[in-house]
Amino acid sequence: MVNVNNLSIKFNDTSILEDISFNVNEGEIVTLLGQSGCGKTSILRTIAGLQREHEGNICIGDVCVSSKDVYEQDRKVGYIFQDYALFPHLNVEENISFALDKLSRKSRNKRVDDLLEQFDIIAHRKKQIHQLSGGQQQRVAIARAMANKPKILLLDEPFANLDSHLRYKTKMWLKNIIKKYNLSAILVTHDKKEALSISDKIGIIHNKKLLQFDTTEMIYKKPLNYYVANFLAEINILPDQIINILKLNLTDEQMAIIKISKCQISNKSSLFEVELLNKSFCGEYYEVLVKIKSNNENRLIMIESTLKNIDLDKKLFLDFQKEDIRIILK
Amino acid sequence: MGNSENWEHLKETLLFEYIFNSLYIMIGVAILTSIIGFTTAYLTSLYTFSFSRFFHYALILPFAIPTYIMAFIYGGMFDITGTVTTFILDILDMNINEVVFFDIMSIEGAIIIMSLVLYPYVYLICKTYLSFESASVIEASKTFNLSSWKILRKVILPISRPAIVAGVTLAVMEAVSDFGVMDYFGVSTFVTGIFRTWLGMGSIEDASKLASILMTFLFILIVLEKIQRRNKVYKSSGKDFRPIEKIKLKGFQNILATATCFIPFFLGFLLPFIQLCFWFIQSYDDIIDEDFMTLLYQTISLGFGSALLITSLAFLFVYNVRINKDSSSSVLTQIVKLGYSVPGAVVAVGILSFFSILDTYVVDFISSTFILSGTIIAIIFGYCVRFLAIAINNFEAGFSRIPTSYDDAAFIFKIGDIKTFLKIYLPLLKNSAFAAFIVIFIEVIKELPLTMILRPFNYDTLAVRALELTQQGQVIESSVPSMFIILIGMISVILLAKNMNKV
Repeated sequence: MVNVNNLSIKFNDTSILEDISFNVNEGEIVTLLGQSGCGKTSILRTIAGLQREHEGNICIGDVCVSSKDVYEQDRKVGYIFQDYALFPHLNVEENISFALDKLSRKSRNKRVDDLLEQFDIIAHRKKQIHQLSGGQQQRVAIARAMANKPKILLLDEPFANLDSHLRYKTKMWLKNIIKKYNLSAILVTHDKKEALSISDKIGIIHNKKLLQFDTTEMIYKKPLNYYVANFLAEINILPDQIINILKLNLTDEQMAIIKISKCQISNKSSLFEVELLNKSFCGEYYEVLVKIKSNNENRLIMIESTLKNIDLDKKLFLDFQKEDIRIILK
Repeated sequence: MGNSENWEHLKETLLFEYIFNSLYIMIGVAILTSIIGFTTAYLTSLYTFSFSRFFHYALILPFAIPTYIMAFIYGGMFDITGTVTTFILDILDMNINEVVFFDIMSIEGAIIIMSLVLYPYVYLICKTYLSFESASVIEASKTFNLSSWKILRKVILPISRPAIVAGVTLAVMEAVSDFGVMDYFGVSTFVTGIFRTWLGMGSIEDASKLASILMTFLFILIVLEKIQRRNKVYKSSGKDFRPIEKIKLKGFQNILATATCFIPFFLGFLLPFIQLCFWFIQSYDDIIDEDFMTLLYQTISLGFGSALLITSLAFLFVYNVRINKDSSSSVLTQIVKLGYSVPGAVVAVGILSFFSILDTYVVDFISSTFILSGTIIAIIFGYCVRFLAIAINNFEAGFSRIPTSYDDAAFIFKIGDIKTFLKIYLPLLKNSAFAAFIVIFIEVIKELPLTMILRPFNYDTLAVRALELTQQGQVIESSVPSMFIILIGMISVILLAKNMNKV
């Protein structure tokens, strides 16, 4: 449904994004993940036609929109802004009806009624925006974005203003809406947990580039490089001693990593005796920091362990499966 | 005498006096306004004491009295034959030669008068800063068990310095640009000099030269203020500003704080206002006639029309910057804003020169009978130059509270510029527009030097009439136009305060 090809964006001659390409199918949720200020929002703005200057092509359905004919195209886009952009001087139904300016009064009222009902905000229709909770405000913002029956839904950090309890519920609710209406959704966030739980595909943006774009499972299991791996999961870079003993063949551009959840310590003897440096209680598990004994390198290893059946006063050994090691680009 | 001879004469005789007096006034007003403004702001922001809530607002009231009216009233009360002077001498049963008499109609008197009216600049800026932005720093310093005096000296005074300087700069700029007080007290400054050379000698060239020297003074002042602000802006690191927890004063400290706040309120508002009321009651019957009502109508309609025009223009400037987002629109707006720092007399002289060129080369071409100088157009143009900055600031603040995502939302829904303006900007900016309108309305009604120079023949305003009456020695009668100016100002301030509560 949406094809972004070789998109590059500049602000005042400063390049923000270079050569970004990805696609979103119908009913699919794609998340663009990256640190704050990496240019994620600029991609959404360009797709919506809010960012005029860009190079490359954006095709929505069969229509390709370039920077010249940006305004002539009906992009069928719904946009949910990070601050929701709900007008404080209008009540709930007026905010929604604002989006339906082109319809006749009768059809507009009918559509507003439908949306209020669908999004479960009919009881709040006459309320001012400041009288609503964060979750209710978000529903109004989504209802307004959906008013014109868009094919594409663009979401800019949509859960940033919600507390963690509400965030989970809203996330699932929104996912259902997107699937129900078979929308193509593009979401931007810097929160990896959010991205992993809601998305069908993820794109990681760093240093102006889209580093990797793949299905959620693939990108998590087979990250292309250290940045992607480290962004999506907590990882240990294996010390040279382990690499040598396990006879891993690495080129100069490669490194060996293992997720901290895949490492364990035990009293059972293994190839690598470790020294306990620190442990901190994290609720369900402990975060344990160890160093391989007789290793000259200062590289430390982080482990998540329940510490059940482990005697910390006895000798400790590092325990992991060789197949959990990933060789990636630096 | 030729123009160059005039200037030589001016240089040899009066120029040094202008420079000395202007500097003396600047330093005097800076010292007095910073002491009064900061002390009252410090007390009302950090402590509660008897009537402290009342003083919170009352200390702003001197703003409602234009400096020149204050000068007329104080002159009428404290000069040799003044009401208060004769009252005290009667009680003491002494005559003027037997007492040490402070002549209020002097440069020192002018400094006191200006400071009593202008200290609210420092008070307001320091109060806002101390009440909100500095709360965390002050509260942190309290945890080190330091005495209040030490906290004041080591923390509050140093961190408030930029706020004090910002307020003092505004007060000093107003003082050095003043015409009414200096003219009435007979103090020679650049502004009275401009009037003397223009109205007395008829030399626009020499007036322009004086105006340029004055502008150099003001320019240096603005640059110095900007430099000090750039280097030292102390802002709370927290995102949410919360007001500071106030300490309750008791016993002697309570009395001292109450007295400290009462004195500037009393001298800056209560005493002159009471005197004005007395004079008003004595003289309103003689002054209020059909001519006076015409004058009142003329002043209000001039204020209303100018405020409406300036508010609309300012909106267009700021709206243009918002929708076009290009640097040239923004630069143009910043240039227009400079007008507020130019004294009324200087603006007037500039406009006279500009319009005389227009009259000679452009308007003559259209019609030989139509001239711009000395018309209502010239005066309104002058107000635009001088007061557009106030309205622009209001709208900039208003627009800054409207997130750009609202514009984006309107774009996505394809609402169009006109509907976006009517449905989003207009309702969200109506309070800013109202505030801008009211403030400009008050400023125009109070304005004196620009109106004096640019007004059409026989076209008076309340301010001009008040000055004329005092120049004719009719100080008591001048209370009538003065009272109307103050009342209009006070009503407008109340409307403004109500409007602010709605935001």
